[in-house]
Amino acid sequence: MSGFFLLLKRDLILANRNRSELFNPLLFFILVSTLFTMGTTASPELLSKISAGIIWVGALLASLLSIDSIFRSDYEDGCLEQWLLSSHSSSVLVLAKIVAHWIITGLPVIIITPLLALMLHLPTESLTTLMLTLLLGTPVLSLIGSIGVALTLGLRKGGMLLPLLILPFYVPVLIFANNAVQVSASGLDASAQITMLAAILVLAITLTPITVVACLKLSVE
Amino acid sequence: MPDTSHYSLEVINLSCFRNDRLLFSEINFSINSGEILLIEGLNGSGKTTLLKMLCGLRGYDEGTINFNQQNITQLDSNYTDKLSYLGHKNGNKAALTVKENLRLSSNLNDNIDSDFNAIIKQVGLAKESDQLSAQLSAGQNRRLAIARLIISQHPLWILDEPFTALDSKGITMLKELMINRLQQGGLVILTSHHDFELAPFTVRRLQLSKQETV
Repeated sequence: MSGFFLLLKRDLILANRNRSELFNPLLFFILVSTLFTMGTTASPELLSKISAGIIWVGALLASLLSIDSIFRSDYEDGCLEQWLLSSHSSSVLVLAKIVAHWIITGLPVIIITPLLALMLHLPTESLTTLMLTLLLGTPVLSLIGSIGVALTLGLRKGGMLLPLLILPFYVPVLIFANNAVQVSASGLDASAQITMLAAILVLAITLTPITVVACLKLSVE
Repeated sequence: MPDTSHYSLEVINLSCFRNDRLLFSEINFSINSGEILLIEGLNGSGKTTLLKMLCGLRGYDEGTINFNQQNITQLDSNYTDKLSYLGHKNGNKAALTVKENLRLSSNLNDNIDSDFNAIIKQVGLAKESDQLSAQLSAGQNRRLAIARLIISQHPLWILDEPFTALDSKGITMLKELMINRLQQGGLVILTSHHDFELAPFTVRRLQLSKQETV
């Protein structure tokens, strides 16, 4: 387990030294959410209906934009080969990288969400549900995204391929999360959707690291 | 701790295809503790590919690689624990200092009791120990990567063009480290475009284009 914390700590130190990596996804998230209110009629009734969707799509795009950097720098400077050959289990190290990515990009988005929810007239009774779906859902975005990155790492022009590859896999998370918020807004119990999201998260945590290691080994060839 | 056990690496009938083209075929050699092997060949003859296969970083189409009579794919981390790889890329993080880079790689290899300052001094980076790796020159970054070889203390060294960017002092230093490694029962496999001798050891050579051991 020590390898996990070593790499996690290293990535957090690196993010702290390169602040743009830390703040860009958050700024992007805030901007996208704000643009929606400008692009649609800013009537409170309409906004309260679509606000959860706006926040979720914003979080999803913010995660997508930042995910490419997760293995890129390690690949380019050769650190990737070094930690694949280290004495620690590669899948544990991969999980550390993903957790670090989530802390850097996912967590700030969750923290700023209540403010944006207020701006977008989200019904107050569904704020807790929205936060819960983000807490369970954004780690899944980082996990699924990392598979796509590991697959496209060796390609010189992976740019557009990555979103096309992983966006379809974000759909189930988006559907369950949005449905949970809508159900709770109409005063019903959303625990079925929440449980489903939790199940997806557990499944992703278990299977992603093994898949990513296999893909990374193809990429370093 | 000096490792006194005996190691052997054996390659049997190794072949590699890339993009449906035969890169090399039927590579055979075996190397034991205290031996050094130089892999020679023209650009594009597959030297790097072969080294990556030896590290287990790349799959191969035919053949077997055995470490101490056991297949390396089965040994997994029992094998990677014994080997240090230095590729074209140094594996230094630009935003970390020399000392931080070393500490990280030594921790990742479970050597916590290393004397960093002595090793930094040994590779000639004493003045730069608190500088970011991004501020170092190419040769200094190479020296930092070499410091990692010393720290890991693994018996098997697989080095891809290790002399690149090093000055003459650096080359002498690396050669001394290799001699030291070999005297302690280590194995060294490397590629190099320079003419390479390592007295008192005889450098064995493998020509990739001719595909036979000399």
